[in-house]
Amino acid sequence: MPPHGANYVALADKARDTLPARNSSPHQMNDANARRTNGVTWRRVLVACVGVFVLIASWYAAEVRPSLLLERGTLEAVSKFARGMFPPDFSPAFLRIVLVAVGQTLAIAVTGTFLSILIGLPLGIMATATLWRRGVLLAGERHNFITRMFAAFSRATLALLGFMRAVPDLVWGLLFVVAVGLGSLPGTLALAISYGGVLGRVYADVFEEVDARPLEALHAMGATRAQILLRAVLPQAAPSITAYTLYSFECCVRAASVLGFVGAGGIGYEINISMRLFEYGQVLTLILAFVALLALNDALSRRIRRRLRANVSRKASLLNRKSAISETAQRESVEAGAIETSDAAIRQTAAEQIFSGQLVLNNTRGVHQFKHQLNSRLKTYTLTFAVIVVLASSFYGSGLTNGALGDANLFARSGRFIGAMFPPETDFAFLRSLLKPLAQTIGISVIGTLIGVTIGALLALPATTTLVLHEHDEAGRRSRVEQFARYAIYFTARLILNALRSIPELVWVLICILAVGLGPFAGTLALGLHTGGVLGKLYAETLEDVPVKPIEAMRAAGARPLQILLWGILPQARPVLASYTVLRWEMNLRVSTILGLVGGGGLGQAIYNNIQLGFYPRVLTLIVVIYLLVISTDWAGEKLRVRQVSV
Amino acid sequence: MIYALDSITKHYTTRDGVVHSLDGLSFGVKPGERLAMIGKSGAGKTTLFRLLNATLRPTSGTIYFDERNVGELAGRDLRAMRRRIGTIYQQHHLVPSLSVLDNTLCGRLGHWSLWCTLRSTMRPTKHDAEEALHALEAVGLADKRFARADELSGGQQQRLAIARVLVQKPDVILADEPVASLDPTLAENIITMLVKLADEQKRTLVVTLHAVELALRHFPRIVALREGRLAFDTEANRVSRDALEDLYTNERASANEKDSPDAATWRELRCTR
Repeated sequence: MPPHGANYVALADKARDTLPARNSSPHQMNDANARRTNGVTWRRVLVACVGVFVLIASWYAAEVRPSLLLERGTLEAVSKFARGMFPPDFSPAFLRIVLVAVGQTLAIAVTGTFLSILIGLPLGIMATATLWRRGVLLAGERHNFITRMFAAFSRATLALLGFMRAVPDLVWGLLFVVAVGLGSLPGTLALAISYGGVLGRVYADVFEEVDARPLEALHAMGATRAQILLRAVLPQAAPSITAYTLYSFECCVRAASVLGFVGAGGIGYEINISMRLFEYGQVLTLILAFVALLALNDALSRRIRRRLRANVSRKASLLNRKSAISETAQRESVEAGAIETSDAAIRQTAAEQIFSGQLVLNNTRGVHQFKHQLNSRLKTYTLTFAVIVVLASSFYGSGLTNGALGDANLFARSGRFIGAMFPPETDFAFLRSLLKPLAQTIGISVIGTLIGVTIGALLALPATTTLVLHEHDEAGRRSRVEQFARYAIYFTARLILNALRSIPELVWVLICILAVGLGPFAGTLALGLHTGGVLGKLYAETLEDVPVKPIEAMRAAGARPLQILLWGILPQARPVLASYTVLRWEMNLRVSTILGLVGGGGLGQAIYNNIQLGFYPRVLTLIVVIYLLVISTDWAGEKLRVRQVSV
Repeated sequence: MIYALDSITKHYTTRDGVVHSLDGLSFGVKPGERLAMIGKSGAGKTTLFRLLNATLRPTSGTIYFDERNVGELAGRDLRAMRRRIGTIYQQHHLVPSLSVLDNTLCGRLGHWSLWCTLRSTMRPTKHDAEEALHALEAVGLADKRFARADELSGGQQQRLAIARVLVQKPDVILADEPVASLDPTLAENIITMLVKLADEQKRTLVVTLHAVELALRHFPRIVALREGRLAFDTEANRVSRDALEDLYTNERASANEKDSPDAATWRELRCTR
């Protein structure tokens, strides 16, 4: 064995990057490896330079002035706000307002989800590539004018879905407020369009990913596309589609709560008003109601999802058994196929695949029947009745049925508004004036995420159970005082994280405006505080979920907590932490386009101003800019995440 | 006595009630001794290991390490004690995303001050780097030092785990089923290596083994556990075939097959005795 010792010492001295050349090939490979992970290359220097440049530019664009935070006026404003919040307003008159607002929010969410399913399902089917554009169904077909037209139409639908999704729901809300007036109707429509886009895209993806073999079999039998969709695609996609739709309802409740900030009714509307009336006690009550609503929503959907998963797994086990049966049948048929031609055998297999495809349907039905028998008919009727009542009252509450739709003026007004937006403003001077808010938006998202990462990282450490709390049978003497202190630290950190997270960005913007005044800095701070809460929780969960075995080994070797963190937890958690951060930055960029709607700077501010001034063509241009920004962010985020995973 | 165990009991509370993992266990280990623990799985060997390396506290009873009561140690003292005990785990417990070298350096963690830790995260000191490299040479992994730990084969990972314990320079080496996942030749090599390394530096070596034949061949003292109690504790050449069969035949009926010593070992055992 060659003397590596001296070589390694030299290597350690040179910071592991400049390695002397070696003779034997495995060494060279390993050294190349080392250089790949630790070395300084031009590429890395370039990336670092770009990163620093982006940070500095963002800092200036977001008009960050930390000194402002320490000024006397700022502190006074914040303490006045904090004092004003207590006691919260629990007077009966105001509680009635809160109750109505909560009801309205729920109504908007339910109706919005319902409409978004109605919009999303057909669009999703239309956008599914396997049905219209490529794959087994089209492989044997001649390309004529009609198929080409369908393909183009499908592609256009996909693009439309992308557009509906990329424009933030608050911008949709603002547009509908202008089109149909204040109230909960614009909020409902905004959710319908925005989440219609989300659901349509998700549905299309799910349809795309179903097992293609049953489709092929049905197609070979000469089934129409509608039959294929109903018999082979939908039954396979049903469980994931239900799950995603439920999740989207959850998101709709969140969104409905903040849509009020642009005048679309619900809790957000009341928060906005109380804030502007300086009634901070009312603000606290509303925030508490908001948090309670979200917690209830979380608990409910978690319950439904658990039940759904139990159903799905039962179905899956049934399916597996059935597929095993059909496989043996297939084998038998092949053995018997000695007298038949191979062609017939193929037909037989195809028929069996259809059979199994139908089985999917039969099984779903079977499970339902089973459940019905178990739960008794009465219960089913009650449930159906309850669903109808909830839907009807939601429709009423969201202002969809109380005469608003019958109002001929409404359509005329919306038509005029849409007409007024065309053609979009393309004046060069105007376009150039957009550069500043564009830079502001990006700057807010970057610096806001950075603040969030800092806050999140600082709070995640004391909020990680594995770092802070002892396991009850861990060795070593412990004093009561120490144990109490550890719990106190842990719960304080969790409490702060929850508070930061559960207050929505837009409320934070209003609070930050009190402290530092209108403008991008308020938006940046707001984004940072909310992101800090979200990332802190995610970071803590990631750190807790790291495989414990290496950590146990280190503890057994006498390592202290900091060493365990640096050598055991962080190396394992790093890829996940990085990908959460990038994902959050993407979301923050979307959010930073709307912070301006309540005075947080960026493109949202420009939209708000132009709508107030009635420059509708400019609004359309701004929406297009936001759309382009969001899709390019998606692309950049995808790239960044792929890099993180490969490193 | 480097270890003295006085009527150790360990209970776990599960959904099905209280499980007695260890039930009034007492024995001692002299410095420099080499001993192997055998017994069916579920007999409490792994629990005993975690008690010995002070990552678990017993429900009742006292453990003395080098004349000191482990239950009364905390913080710095506890860490100092753990530093003197090196543990090799069945599943290696390596950090998969760190390099072989960094994983080896993890063994030094107990020796580092806070400042040294922060500096070493960037770059290890000359001394530590040399130590790590010597250890890797001793287990024959020096040329793999820049590979990631999860790129290694099972045997290489086990050798890396040994290297990590070597740089720790412990007084006692504990190895929990160090060769359970390896083929017989490799297992023989690893055990020989462990015994040699422990002997060279006069370290105490405590090992649990499923391969009874290996245990009898390499370890002068055999401790057998059954259902959390001591079945027998004697010199290797005094272990009778009857006692062994007694220890394992009960198990045959209850435990799953992969945990019982494989048929080959049994045939070998029958031939040699």
